[in-house]
Amino acid sequence: MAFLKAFLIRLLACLLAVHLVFGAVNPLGSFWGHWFPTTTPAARMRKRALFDAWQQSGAVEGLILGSSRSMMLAPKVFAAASGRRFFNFAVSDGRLEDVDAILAYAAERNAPVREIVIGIDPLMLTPGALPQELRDDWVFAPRVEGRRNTVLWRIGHGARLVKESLRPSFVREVITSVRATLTHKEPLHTFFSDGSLEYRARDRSIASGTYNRKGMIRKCIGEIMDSLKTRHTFDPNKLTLLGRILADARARNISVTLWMTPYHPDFFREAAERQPRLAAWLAQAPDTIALIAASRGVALVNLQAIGAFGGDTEDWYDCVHFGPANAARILSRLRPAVREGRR
Amino acid sequence: MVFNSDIFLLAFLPVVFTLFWAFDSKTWRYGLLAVAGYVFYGWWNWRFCFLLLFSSLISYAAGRAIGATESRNRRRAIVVACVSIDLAILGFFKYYNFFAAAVRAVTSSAPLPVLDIVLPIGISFYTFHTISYVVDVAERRVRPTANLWEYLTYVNLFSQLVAGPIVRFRQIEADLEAIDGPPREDWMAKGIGFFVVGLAKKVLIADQIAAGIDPILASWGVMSFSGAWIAALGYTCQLYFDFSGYSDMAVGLGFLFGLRIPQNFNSPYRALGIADFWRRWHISLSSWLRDYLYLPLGGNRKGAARTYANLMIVMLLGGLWHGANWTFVAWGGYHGVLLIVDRVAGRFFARLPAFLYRLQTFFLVLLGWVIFRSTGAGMAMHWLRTLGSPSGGLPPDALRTSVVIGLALVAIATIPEAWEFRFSTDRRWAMVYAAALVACYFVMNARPSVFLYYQF
Repeated sequence: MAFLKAFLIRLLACLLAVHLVFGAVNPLGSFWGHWFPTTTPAARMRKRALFDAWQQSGAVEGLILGSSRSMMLAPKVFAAASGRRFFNFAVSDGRLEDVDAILAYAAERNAPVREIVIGIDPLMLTPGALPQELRDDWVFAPRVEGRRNTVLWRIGHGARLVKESLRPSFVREVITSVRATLTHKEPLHTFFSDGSLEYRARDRSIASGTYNRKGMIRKCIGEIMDSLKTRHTFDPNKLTLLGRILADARARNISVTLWMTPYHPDFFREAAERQPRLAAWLAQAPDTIALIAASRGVALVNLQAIGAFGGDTEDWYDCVHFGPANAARILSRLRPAVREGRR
Repeated sequence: MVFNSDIFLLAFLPVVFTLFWAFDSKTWRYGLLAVAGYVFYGWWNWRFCFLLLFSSLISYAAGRAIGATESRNRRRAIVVACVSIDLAILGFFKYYNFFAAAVRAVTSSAPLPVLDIVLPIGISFYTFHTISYVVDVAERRVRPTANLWEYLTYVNLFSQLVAGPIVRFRQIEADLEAIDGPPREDWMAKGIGFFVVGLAKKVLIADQIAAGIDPILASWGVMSFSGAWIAALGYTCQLYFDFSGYSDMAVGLGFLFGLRIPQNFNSPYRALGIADFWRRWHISLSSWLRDYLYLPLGGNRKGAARTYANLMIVMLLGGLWHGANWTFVAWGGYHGVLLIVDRVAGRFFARLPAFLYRLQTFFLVLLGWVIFRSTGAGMAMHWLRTLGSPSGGLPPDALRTSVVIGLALVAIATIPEAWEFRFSTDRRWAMVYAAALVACYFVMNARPSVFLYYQF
């Protein structure tokens, strides 16, 4: 059995060496290394760390929640309107399950949250798998799975992450991360200490006139239309979850501002031409969401169309991510609702 | 369960292997392998374990009964009864609906209802195992085993249970008898080596080719000339690397448990002539058909006409064995014709330069695989026609797929079978195998797949 023993030792050594490299580079932020940049925003992990630090410098009383579209909203605007200390805890590809998990996390951290601003998109209420980053998250995943964060769960979760890392796609992520370090590539997402986001590299590219906005909008429209092609329908479980989140917030005396995030006008135009059923569903989605919100005593601020906040068609990074000028306009539309919530 | 799955590699194999070498008695080792076979098989559908057990018990009892009698007629009667039961089971599960549809097509009515039958995987293989055992016992080529666990070990051996090779009892009888022996260093090295080579053939070559040709074949109606050739060459390579990879893994697993499973492939695409091809391709099936069908039919001992008829019968049934579809029958018939032509004009072909003769054989086999892979006559005719009608553009991902196929063809032409490797016990090789296994796992983990021969 000496050969077999030698083989097994070497096999374990190979796997260990691979994991050491993958874990150290940690391109998706799900392992232990922190010396290399992540190739995704890894917003859940990074914002948790920022939240903990923000909470240490003063109690967090307000949270901005939602998807990457809400990341541009500056907490200081709401702070000025409400007198409460806000943190932007919106995460990339954020879902209602994130909102639920973040509120639980904030409560565990003894944050006296009294106000939340949830940016909602109909996509968050459709059926389908949850984002990989959420499923891989060490803190939010057990909550989403309805499990307790026990040692056994962590062992199972870790084993799954290690297994899923043993793929050529993960090798590519590792290479991208290492290359970004070697070339000193600026990250796409720059988070401030209050959790808000700046697309520094993109803004520079726009300023220099090299940003291909039209191309990015076209690509984004194609991707969203593809992803919604077969699932432009509400998942009853998600609608129930929305109702529960709003009811829980009310029970905990947290005032809620629910707003619908915008799309670039080209998206609506394309949807009406190419997928009329999707366009019709999007058009009636605010009514469905408003009905649920109203039943929990929450008003919906519908900013889905650019006209609702007097937006600029040029101030966009793609078809869903608006620029700083539009963010300011959206903030000014939401500010009264937040101020109202304070009363 | 498949060899290239997490459950097999990370749980089933380590547990069974550890327990096997932890036990030191014959009975415990037989028992473990027999039960492991049911777990392996039942992972797919546990209900069919009872069918497997029934088939095993019938042939075991038949073997004992044959062994207990000296009467030739009685022996023959038992063989006929047992083989009839085996073939009835196989016929019902695999061919009933096929024949019901055929009868309906001929009579334009429905005298036989179409049933919702699930095909038990591996039934074609284990039926041939049990038949060969009973016939060999009756022919006194092998002594019937009195040990039921030993027999169940033979039939249920997970390495060969669902997709072969079709191992005869006499081929592994000696190793089964010596199953309580200590592990052999050289067999461990061979076991790991064969397994890794087989896995690499499957995931690094066959599955990569499949990724390129499956989309072409899925929309065969709009297949272009280049697409037809890429698909034909690709499938020819894919089938070889997939099935020979599986066979190598089975051989490797056999060595790990102290059992020598015979060679199933011997560089078939380097064959000189179709008869030579069949001596090199799926050797365990072709030799089974020769010994249990062709020779009992008279072989080549009853004149030329009868020989040709026998060849045709054997190849038609061999085609049908692969599945209940007329394309398999047509493929069998095609090879029957080729074998007859080979027999008639073989001497003429043999005068060709070896390279040309090899190329001609390869081309004829490739055309056969087009029929074999087609889902129906329409697809086969269209694909064959498109192969000869230059037109149209390139299929998506043509360059990548062509490069992979090109490399596979170079490997076929230059690299010998794993049987010709010397799997050294030098520990430096342990590192090579470990690294190769990890590399294979990376690819396998990204795109799980099953072996092509599981469907037969």
